[in-house]
Amino acid sequence: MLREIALRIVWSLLAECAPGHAVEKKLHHYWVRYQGKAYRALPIGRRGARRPMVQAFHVRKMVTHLGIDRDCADRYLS
Amino acid sequence: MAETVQSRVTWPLIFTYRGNVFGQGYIASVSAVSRVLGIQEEDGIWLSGVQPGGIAAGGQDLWEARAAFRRAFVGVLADIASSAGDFSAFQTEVAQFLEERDDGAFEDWTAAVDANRRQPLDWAQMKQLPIMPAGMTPSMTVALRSELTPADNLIDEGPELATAA
Repeated sequence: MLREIALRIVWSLLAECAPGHAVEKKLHHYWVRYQGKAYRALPIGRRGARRPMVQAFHVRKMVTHLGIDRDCADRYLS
Repeated sequence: MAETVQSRVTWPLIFTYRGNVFGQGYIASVSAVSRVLGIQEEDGIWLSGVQPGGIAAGGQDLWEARAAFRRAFVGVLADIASSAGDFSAFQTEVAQFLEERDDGAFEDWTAAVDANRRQPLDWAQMKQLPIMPAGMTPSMTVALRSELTPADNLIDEGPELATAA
């Protein structure tokens, strides 16, 4: 099974490690914009889920693609 | 003290897509060729976008990952269509999506092409894929469709996922 992480942890990571980022909720994904780039494939999570989860790889990919501070992000991902 | 060196197993891929996207009052046909890095992770196979870089999808095996990547790709196009007010805005946002390369993934992709040329990895699922030239240029062509005909029913015979070599 693909490893998952709670979406609320992703929001905390972004708040601390990606100051000035923007999140847009689209039809199928969240788009996260930071430093002139966007990660466009962050899943919205199962509809109605009390604790929405996303696959952890998406978060690691978002961190590298957007150039988010790795050490800061690792505190949330480890 | 012994040092543990962890190296990821990666595979250079090319993803192709052809399809129609319904926007607000228009239909756009999209044809795309993109670079993707296949990564063996502890929890499965992940396909990580290189150019465009802002996309990824995974699965328990390559076939599941490929289906998930296609869903994600089509989903992003639908997301773009949902927020672009007209065809011109759709075209602009698709171009922006393509332009955003993941530079770290591109280095890994290039290294994987070189490594595979020297000594191909023994990755059985990946070896089943067709081969396309690694020298391709990622592209996304968007055309406005004023009318649709039966000829627009796509029977796509091209490889959706291929090894870049």
